[in-house]
Amino acid sequence: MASAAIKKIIIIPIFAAVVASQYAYDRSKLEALQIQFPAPLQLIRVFDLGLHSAAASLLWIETIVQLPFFQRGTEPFFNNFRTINDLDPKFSFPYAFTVLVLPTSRAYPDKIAAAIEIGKRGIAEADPDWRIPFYLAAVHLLELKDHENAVKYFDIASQTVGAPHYIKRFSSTFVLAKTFREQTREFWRAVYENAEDEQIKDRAGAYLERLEIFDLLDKASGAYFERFGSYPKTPQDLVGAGIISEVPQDPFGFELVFNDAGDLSVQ
Amino acid sequence: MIEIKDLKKMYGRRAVVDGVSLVIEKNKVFGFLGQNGAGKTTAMKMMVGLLRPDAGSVSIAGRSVLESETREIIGFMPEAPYFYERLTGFEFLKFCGDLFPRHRKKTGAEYEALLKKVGIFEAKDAPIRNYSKGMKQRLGFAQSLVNDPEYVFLDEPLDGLDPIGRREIKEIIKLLKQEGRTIFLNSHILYDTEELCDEVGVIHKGKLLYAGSVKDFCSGKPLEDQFIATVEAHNK
Amino acid sequence: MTVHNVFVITKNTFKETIRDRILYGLVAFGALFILLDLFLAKLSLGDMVMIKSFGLAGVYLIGTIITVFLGASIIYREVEKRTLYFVLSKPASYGDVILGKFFGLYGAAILTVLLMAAVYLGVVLYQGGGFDARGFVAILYQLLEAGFFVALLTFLSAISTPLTSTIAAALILFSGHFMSTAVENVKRIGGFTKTFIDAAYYLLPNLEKFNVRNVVVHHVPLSLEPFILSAAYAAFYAAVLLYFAYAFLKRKEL
Repeated sequence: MASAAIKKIIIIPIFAAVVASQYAYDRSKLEALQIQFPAPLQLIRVFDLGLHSAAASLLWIETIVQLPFFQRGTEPFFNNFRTINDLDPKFSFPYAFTVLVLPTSRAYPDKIAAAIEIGKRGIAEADPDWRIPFYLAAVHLLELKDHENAVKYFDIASQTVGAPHYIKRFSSTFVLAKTFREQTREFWRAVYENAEDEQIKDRAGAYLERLEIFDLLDKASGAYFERFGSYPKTPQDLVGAGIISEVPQDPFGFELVFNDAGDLSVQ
Repeated sequence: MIEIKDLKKMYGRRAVVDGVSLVIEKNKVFGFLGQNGAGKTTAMKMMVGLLRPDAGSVSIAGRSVLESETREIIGFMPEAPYFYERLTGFEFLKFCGDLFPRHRKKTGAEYEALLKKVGIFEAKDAPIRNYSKGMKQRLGFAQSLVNDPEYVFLDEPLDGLDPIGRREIKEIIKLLKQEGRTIFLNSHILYDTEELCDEVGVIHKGKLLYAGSVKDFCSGKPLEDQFIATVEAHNK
Repeated sequence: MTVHNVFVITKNTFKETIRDRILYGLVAFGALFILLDLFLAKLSLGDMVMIKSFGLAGVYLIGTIITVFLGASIIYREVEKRTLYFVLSKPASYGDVILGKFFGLYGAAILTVLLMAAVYLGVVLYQGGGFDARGFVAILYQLLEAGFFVALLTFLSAISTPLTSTIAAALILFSGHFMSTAVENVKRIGGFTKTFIDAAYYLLPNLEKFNVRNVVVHHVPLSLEPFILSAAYAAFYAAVLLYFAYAFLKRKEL
């Protein structure tokens, strides 16, 4: 009877040994044994049983995590992106997400040009998706200060089938905003209040937070000028002058500096 | 009547049934005797239309057995039958009955009566995969009677049955004869053949060595002795 | 051959098939696989194209696996286990058997696909995509392909063992989707290779005719004409396969 009981419970330590060996393997980070297998398009087309849309979606899930830091380098990302486009040319989400996130990457110098090229291709080839022209407009507005193209793409977004009503409203009120910062704030507020997915909402929230910091530092910089007759060079100077208690952290981790004219910019 | 003329079946170069000719009159019980591999089952399969003969013919009630109308009046029980295991005994019997488009549809009560007759009524709603060998044998026998056939072909009907089961099935076979049906059965159990049959046929290596009345074949000796003697005489 | 006997065998085959316990397991697995879409919905940030693509892929893959599993031994088992003796010794013909087995198995395959379709449509509804009528059209096309596959398996199981039937069906599944691409690719090569591939394209089944999954997830209009042509293709090809199944079965020594 004792041996029968032993036979029943011995499975527990054996299974524990399986879990422990898996844990030890993961801790030792034996990544050298893993080779990144690039997904050639023809191979996928042979083996995907015609499920090109699903294969593209699956590949996109694997690819999306590389933005914006490009942990495996930029080439695998863009190769995968091209494969996804070839498998399912009408798949719009990769275009939209890449246009939104790529401009914030520090790992890729040509990010703005690439984002614009991808956005234009997405508008031409993919399903009508208001997000592509909308985020493309944002790139023109925020990165290039290109008001004319921003208006053009916001308009395309509002005319796209399926665009939510707030986009149509935003597009018509956007041109009325007085300053560039007001326009930017309007844009990100619209995205933040109406985005359904958390990542995009967080990103918009981060931009709004940055704009709040800009407002705070602008005001503080004005007070510094009144006291000392010149503008501060860095936000640390404002702390030293006792105008603010601490340097606010940029939500994207960039350094904020003042130029000679007292304008704040991202370094 | 069953008329078999020069029936022949080759498997490769071997003649499994070699020129068998027989006439079985109506309302007779005919027993086919032979060793294992003698050709009994192959011959029976040709008689019920499962196999096409390479030569010769089989006619039942004047019609070729290859015509589907002829199969309306026959019943066949294969040796060691396999079934659709997920069906119940009742469902299987009904399935068999439904395959006779011209025959009057039996009611549920009539199928149950047939199951009662062969002694597996209690298991009618159990899946066949739970049946014992004897129960499957009984079910195989029942489905051969589902269309009230005039001609019944039974391949080793008593195989796998306990003594009580064997007696029950033998009684049913006797009853079928009383009802005016013609029965053709294969068996290697000589005792049962002697008890049930009016006539016998002895088949050996595909050839028919004897066909006629049991009494004449035995001539006062036990059937087993006569059978062995006949086969050995042929081998010489 | 009679319609009555085909119907009797169809009913019997359907009943037998849906009582297979392994089938329940496969359908449950299929439903779980499709419910996995809910998890993938999070990864895809709620993108409806991805949710629908994965869901329809799940219905297709599991549905095809179930069809192959059910059909690979459908005729083989009848011959090996000699259950055909009961049927063919009665006024039923080989044609009744082939057609009855085909329709019975097809009915079971339709039922399992529709069960998984219900799970898929529920997932899309839950994710806020409404009733996915276009997805349902893709599943109707899939049912045409299932009809072809059941006929193929009826033929294969009449001539070979279940393992061989499964391998052959898997190869045809891949080649059936790959052929269209191959024909496009060899246009540049030309010569004998092109002729060979073109011949293979017309002789072997082309399953891309039943694949509108990539189309229905995007805003591409659908029309009735391709459906009718695909249904005709499936019906004619199935008829050819069932005829060969009948011819081979009739020649078998039972």
